[in-house]
Amino acid sequence: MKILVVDDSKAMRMIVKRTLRQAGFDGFDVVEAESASQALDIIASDSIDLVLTDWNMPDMTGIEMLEHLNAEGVEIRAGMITSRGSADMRARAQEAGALFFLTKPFTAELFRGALEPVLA
Amino acid sequence: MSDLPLDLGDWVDAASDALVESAEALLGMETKLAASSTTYPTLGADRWGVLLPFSAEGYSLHVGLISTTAGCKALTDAMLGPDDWSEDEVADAVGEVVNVMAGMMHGDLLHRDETIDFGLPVVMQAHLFDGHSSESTVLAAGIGGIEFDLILMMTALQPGKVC
Repeated sequence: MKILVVDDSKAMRMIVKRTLRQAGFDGFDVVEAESASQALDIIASDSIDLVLTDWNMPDMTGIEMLEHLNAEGVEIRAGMITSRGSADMRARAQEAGALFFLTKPFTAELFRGALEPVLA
Repeated sequence: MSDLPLDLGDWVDAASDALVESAEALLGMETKLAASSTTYPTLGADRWGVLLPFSAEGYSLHVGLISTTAGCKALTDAMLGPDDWSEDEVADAVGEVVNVMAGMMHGDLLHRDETIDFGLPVVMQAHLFDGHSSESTVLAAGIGGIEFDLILMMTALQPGKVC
């Protein structure tokens, strides 16, 4: 099983990877992308089981990336991890097929609760 | 700026709460805040930080954290573990603390002004301009004993004025 972590912040990618381990997902192969465009390249060339993406990134946002994947007919499981969490954004993420919406800062317990049903 | 739905004091309260909560969650550190004698922090060769812009109808606001290089490095060590972090990595880590703070502030204040939005953090090393239409507040923030300035600058937008 392979998880793709998409965030323009290296610090946050490290925290997400650490939280995945703390939540008990240490057996998963984790790959990283520092932009949505890099993530799209990885998704096109690799077998990704779950995408964890930030919302607020330069050039292309996380939600634009999910909408792009939908438009291209790419079916992939994804969840948002973001510092902002308005009702409008949650609705847009859900419409784009996001399976969960976590706001920063998050805990290992929140990760476990959100990811376990998806990865089971 | 008196006719705006939020004043600088509202933003300072939200930023203070957000810094305390984000430092606890991201760093496991207690934060102590105190009034500062200055309204604009000193920046220079060994004093820098990260600012993040908010926009709303009628005004913009910047929130930021400023410290010495050693202070920013200590915060990065606390967040990611001790290592030989590069300047870019330290800026990224401090920026992520400010970004998480901004998300909390946004969530706290959006119900009072639904036009609020925010952007991405930027590193600040140059002089901060004390504009005629700006209000600012600086709080001395001890994040687990690491000294930072928490700065907020609010600027009324003047339609038609370019600079």
